[in-house]
This record gives sequence, structure tokens and C-alpha cells, in this order.
Amino acid sequence: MNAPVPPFDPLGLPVTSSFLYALSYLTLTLHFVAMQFTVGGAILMLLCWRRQPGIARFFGTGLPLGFSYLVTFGIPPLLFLQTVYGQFFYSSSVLVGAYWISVIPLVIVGYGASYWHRMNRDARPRHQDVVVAIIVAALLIVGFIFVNNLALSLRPDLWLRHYAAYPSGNTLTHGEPTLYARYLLFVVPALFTSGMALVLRASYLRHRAATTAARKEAETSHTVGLRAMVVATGLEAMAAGWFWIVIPDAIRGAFAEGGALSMLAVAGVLLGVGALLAAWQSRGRSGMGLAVLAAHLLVGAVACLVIVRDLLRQLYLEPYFEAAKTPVLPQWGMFAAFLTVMLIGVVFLAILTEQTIRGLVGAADGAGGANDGKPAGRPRPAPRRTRAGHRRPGQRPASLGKQ
Amino acid sequence: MNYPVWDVPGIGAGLIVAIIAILHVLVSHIAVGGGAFLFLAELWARRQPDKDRIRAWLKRYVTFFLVYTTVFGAITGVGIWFSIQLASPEATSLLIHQFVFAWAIEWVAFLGELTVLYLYYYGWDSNSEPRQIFLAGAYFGIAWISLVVINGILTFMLTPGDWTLDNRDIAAGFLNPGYFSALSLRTMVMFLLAGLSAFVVAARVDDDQLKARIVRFASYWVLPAAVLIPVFSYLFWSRLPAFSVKLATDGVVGLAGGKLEVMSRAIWLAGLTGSLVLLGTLTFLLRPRALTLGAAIAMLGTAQIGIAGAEFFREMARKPYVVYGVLYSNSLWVRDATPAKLREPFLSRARWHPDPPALTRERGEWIYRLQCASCHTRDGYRSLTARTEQWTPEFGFQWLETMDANGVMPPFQGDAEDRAALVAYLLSLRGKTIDPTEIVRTAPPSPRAPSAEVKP
Repeated sequence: MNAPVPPFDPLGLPVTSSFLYALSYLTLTLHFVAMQFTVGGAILMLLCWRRQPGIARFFGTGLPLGFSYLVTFGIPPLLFLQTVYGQFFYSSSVLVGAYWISVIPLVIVGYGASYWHRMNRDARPRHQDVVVAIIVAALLIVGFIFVNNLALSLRPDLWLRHYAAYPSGNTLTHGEPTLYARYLLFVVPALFTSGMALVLRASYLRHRAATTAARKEAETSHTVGLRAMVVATGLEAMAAGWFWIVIPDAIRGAFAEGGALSMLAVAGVLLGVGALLAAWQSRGRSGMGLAVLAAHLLVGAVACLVIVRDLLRQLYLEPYFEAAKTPVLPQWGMFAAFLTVMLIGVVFLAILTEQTIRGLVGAADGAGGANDGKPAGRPRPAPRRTRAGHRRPGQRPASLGKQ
Repeated sequence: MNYPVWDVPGIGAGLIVAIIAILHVLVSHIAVGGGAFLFLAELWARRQPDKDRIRAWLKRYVTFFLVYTTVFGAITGVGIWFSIQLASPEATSLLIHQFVFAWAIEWVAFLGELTVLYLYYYGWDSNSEPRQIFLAGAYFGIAWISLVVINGILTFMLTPGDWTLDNRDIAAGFLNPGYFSALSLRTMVMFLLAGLSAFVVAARVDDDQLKARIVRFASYWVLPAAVLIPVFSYLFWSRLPAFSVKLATDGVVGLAGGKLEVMSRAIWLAGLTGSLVLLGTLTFLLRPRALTLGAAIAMLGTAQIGIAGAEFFREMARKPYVVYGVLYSNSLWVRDATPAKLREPFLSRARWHPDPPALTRERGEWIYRLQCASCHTRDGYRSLTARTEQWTPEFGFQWLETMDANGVMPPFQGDAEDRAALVAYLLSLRGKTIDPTEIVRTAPPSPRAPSAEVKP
């Protein structure tokens, strides 16, 4: 192949590539879920701005955290991507360098605007919809730049011509035929995931709230959430069809052959449909079980599609690179240190988070209203629940719906 | 040579890295030092008779702290990573492959500090007193661990010590000669910046008596650190490579005459801004009403300028390498800089060019792009038009051959035709039309001077 693919780094792989793939899949799944919640949430916020203010407020409260974790969970997949595919990723990044670096100010603008909205929406309600539109625009542009760069990283045959024409990296690629279908395949699921967030919210409201207003808000949340999921499913099917048409014959053939690629793709679709059906069925139920099951199925679907995405990358880059043949100059000690730190960190954070959330819920119950970062009265211990999850007589409802 | 060079007109890729890094260093050090401040301020507030008022102020501080560090600090941190990929992919690849799990550990710390900060902030009204104090302390501990980790990678680039490409000794590279002095220095800087960031929020306190107490508490963070920073700076200085020290103290004769004294200027800048911060803090301590929002921001701005000086010094001290003694700033591996390889026609070894004809300005432009553009621009930052103003074709042709002799430039890669093409291109930037063939034809034969062999 006549393409200027750089040689693999002289330090080789630090551990067998399968470990790096596994870590990448795990963290990229978390990144995608956070990204989809944030992007879809911002879009739904804009769409619901006038008619469903409770939903806009819910996403307005969650968006800064969504941004925060989409960035945080985005770091390790990029780290492991660079460890295995650095020679492709760095090259394509330079080719679109001006756009790639503009991701940083765009994210600062979107993330900063999400905090600005949350902190000022009550004091300065005018033009907040414009702020939300800025957040949506920033997220969609950043998404397109990411997809553009990563699509270009799969096409070393396009690199030299692109670099000779635009050495300043001031032009995105449009030569990759799957580009726009690929973009839709990443953006549309955001509506699905944010719809799922609304279904979960509705389920939580129904589970805890007793007031008519809260039940009504739950109903609205469920309706909008399901609608978003159904629309996203239809659009995703169309985007997948478009992608199927424009991918190279060899890749299509690999899908048709069966094996891990097609099985995981089918599993991803089935899990997604399962999530939709479970979300649908959770309507009107007082328990949260079905909604939580739906959310888990969704995460499973995302995980399957993350692996499919990487298998496709391996197929695209097969003529240039095979990770399995790359020399490993092991750093097992550091790898073990990382796993240990990660395990301790996750347990530590899980305990702290569980305790703090318990206190927050208790305080919200005590105050009889959502605190949303505002003073919520004297903290009270978390309310005890019966085994069936029903409120005890006289127990006051939470009001997450007001957030 | 293995990667394309991001050819940014006017400012250059290196300056983009520097701008993002300078902005990030201020906020990232506040993010760590501010954690210690929160922890001790929580303890302090709870011993005061008016603890609710002080905690109300502390809530304002933590709101500023949360938004500023998570939005601007975290994203500019990612920005450094993005920009170094573009400015020096070869070096980034080296760092990633050597320190991938150190970076991954730092990510766990980052995830931890972020989550703990949210638990602290959003649980402000519902967390018990001991829990809130524990969370503040945990935040600081975790944030400092992230500094401990990233400091090893940063100092590795300037003082890799006994690490080599062959031994790949991660302990030697991480705990390198500059590690502990830099860690101590950064720890002091973060305490100082924590105090300065507290001034910004304290400036809005209306009650003079309360303001005076907060200013006094914040000053205790600035004053000892401001005194100790020069001590740790000296320790850092004592661990620098000998040639970096020489470069800083003596300066180097530049291309266009004069001396390259930017490093000594950077030292002066850091010293001057440090003194101003000290004087400003003493003023606030003696006259708390002098602390206005403008004055507090000016103090942070002064610190930002000082950090800019220090960061430029650190970057310049690495000249001409990006990883000292291992990889030149234009991505030439030191191990590949043998006389025989250096004399080969450059584009036959480079990957990223459309194979322009020999002895043309077009070929010269591609040589410029692949060898020079990672540090220089044509007519902006580190302008080559300005630096070659006094050049004749003959001088340029000969100078390129020994340009590494003064120790601040990498060796030229390529044969006589490459040098002639580059000279013709550089002179064409000032409107001069020179035929590269003519340069080669009229040039006296000059055996390549041996490389300066600047050893770290």
C-alpha cells in the first residue's frame, strides 16, 4: 500500500493488545453513554423548552455532570487508542489539526454554558434557550470533528493528497464516503439514551411521588422519553442502511460471513430493541425494575456496538497494521499497579457516592422538595422503605420532577 | 520524519501548546492547592464562633473553584494532550507508550478528585460535618496524587536520567533527577495559588472584619510559599542538564546576531512577578480594604505571567530536544543522527511529501515544513524571514551544514541539494529569487563539520 503510515512506536505495546482492547471497550462504553446523555439531553432540552419545562429543567440540572463525565470517560479510550493505533490517529489528527484543536474551545464554551445555564436559569431566564442552542451546536460540531478525524484515521490512502493540499490542517475530509452515515450512527443514539434517561426519571417519580403534579410530570416524562427512543430507533435504522450501502464491499462481505462482527451487531440491535420494549412496558408501573432493566440493556447494546466499531476499524486497517503482530515490551508491573489503583478507586468512590446520595435523598425528603443545589433544610436520615419499595404511611415524597 | 508536521502559519504549533499549557498550569495548580485550602478552611471555619458566615463564604469559594477547575482546568488539560499530539506526535507516542499506565493511574485520580468534589459540593447541605471535612481532605489527597504522577512524566522530558530507549527503565525515567525538586516546587506554587484564588472570592465580602480574617487566613498560604519557592527553584535549577544551565546563563549567539537571552529573561520575569505577589499579599494583610476584585484578579494575572516565564524557561531549557538527549524537537531521533544518515537526501527518508523535484523552491518548502516548522514560522513567531534577513545564499548554504554546532538547533538532515533548495525557499520569503542549482554550483566544497554532540 502506498500510504505514509508511520512505523509503530519503538517502545512497542506495553501489554498484550487484548488487555488494551478490553480496557478501551469498557471505558468507551461509559464515555458513549455519558456522551449520548449529554448530547441527546441538550437536544431534548431545546425541543421541550416551551412545552415541557420540567424536562428542560431536568436536563439543565444534569448537563454539567453529563459534560464532566463524558470528558472524563473520554480520556482512557483515547489513551488506549493511541497506544494501539497511535500511528494512524496522530497522522489523521495533524491532517485536520486546526479543527482538532478547536474541539478544546468548543467544549469549554458548551461545558461553561451548561454551568451558566444551570446557575442563572432562575435569576436570568431571558434568552436561556439561546444558551441551550449554543450548547447543542458546540456538542454537534465537536461530534462531527471527532467522527471526521477518526474516519480519516482509517483511510491512509487519502492522507498524502490531503496533507499536500492542506498542510495547515484547515480542511476536514470529505473523501470518506461513510462519513455522514457514520456521524448519524453516533449522534442519533444520543436521542435514544436521553429518552431512556427520561423513562428512568418517570419511573423514579412514580416510584416516590404521591402528588398529582408529580404523577403528571412522570407521565409527560415517560411519553417524551419513549417518543425520543422510537424516533431514534427509526433514524438509526435508516443511518445503518445508509452505512451498509456506502461501506466497502470487503467490509460488507465480512458482515455477511457471520462471526464475531455480525453476531455482536445483531446482539447490539436486539439489546437495543429489548431496551425499548422494557422501557415501553415500564409505563404505569410503580416499581423501577423494568426501567432499570431497560437501562442495563441499553448499556449492553452500546457495549456491543463499541466492539463492532473497533472490529470494523481492524478490518479497515488490516492492509497496514495488525496489533497481534506488534512486539510487546511488557510493563506488567505498571499494569498491575493501574488495575489495583482502579479497583481501589472504584470501590472508594462507589461507597462515598452511595453514602452521599443517601444523604441527599434524605435531605430532599426532609425538605419535601428538590434541592437542586439549593439549601434543602436540615439533613435528615434517609427514609426507610418497606421491602416492596412502598412508602410508609406519612412519608413525604421526593420531588425530582422539579429539578 | 515519521509524522506529518502541523504547519500553522504565523504562530506555529509550539506556541499553541505553550499558550494552552500556561493557562492550564495556573488553574491545575489552583485545583490541587485549593483542595488543601478547602480542607483547612473547613477545619478553621468550624472553630470560629461565626462558622456559618465563614462557611457561607466558603460555599462561594467552592462554587468558583468547581466551575473554574472543572470547566477550564480539566478541558485545558485535555487541550495540552491534543496540542502535543499535533505539535509533536513522535514525542507524544513515546510518552504514551512508556507511561501509558502512569497516565491511566492519573486518570483514576482525576476521576476520583472530580467525583469527590461533586460529592462535597452537592452534599454541602446534607453531608455531616465529619463527612464534609473528610471529602475535602480526600479531594486534596487524590488531587495531589495526580500531581505526583504527572510530575514524573513532565520532568522526564527535561531530565530523563538513566532512562534510555534500550533499557526503557520506567523507574529511572519517572523518578528522574528533576523529579523531587520539581514536585516540591509545584507543591509550593499550588499553595501560593490557593491563597491567591481565595483573595478573588474574599474581595466580594462586604463585612470588613470578616474580610480581614479571611485575608489573613489566605495570606498564610501565600507568604510561606512565596518565600520557599525561590529555594525550591534553586534546587530545580541544580538538577538541570549542564548545557541548559549554560544556555540560561550565557545566552547563545543567534542566527541574526545578538544573543539568545530569552531564558535569562524568563528567570527575571518569574522573580519579578514573585516579588510583586509577595508585596501585594503583604499589602492586603496590612490593609484588607485594599483587596478589591480588580486587585485580586491582577494578583492572579501577575502569577499567570510568572508561570508563563517559568514554563517558557522549562521549554527552552530542553533545547534542542523535546525529550532531552533522545528526540530532537523536530522529531529526529538522536540515535538516527549519525553523519551517514544525516547526509542522505532528506526526502528519500521522509514520508510526508509529494516528492517535489530536486533543486527547486518547492522542494525547499517541503524541507522547511518537515524540518523547521515544528519550531519556526515563515514570518510570525520565531520567524525565519527575520532570522535569515542577513543571509546570502552562500552563507545560508554553509550555515545549515553546521547549524547544530551552537547546541540549540538539531542537525540539518539532507544533502547539498536539499540545503540549496531550503536556502532558495527561505530567501524567496523575502522576495529574492535564487536558483538552487546555482547555489550548489558556486558553493565551495565544505566537508560536513562533525555534529556538536551536545550530550545531556
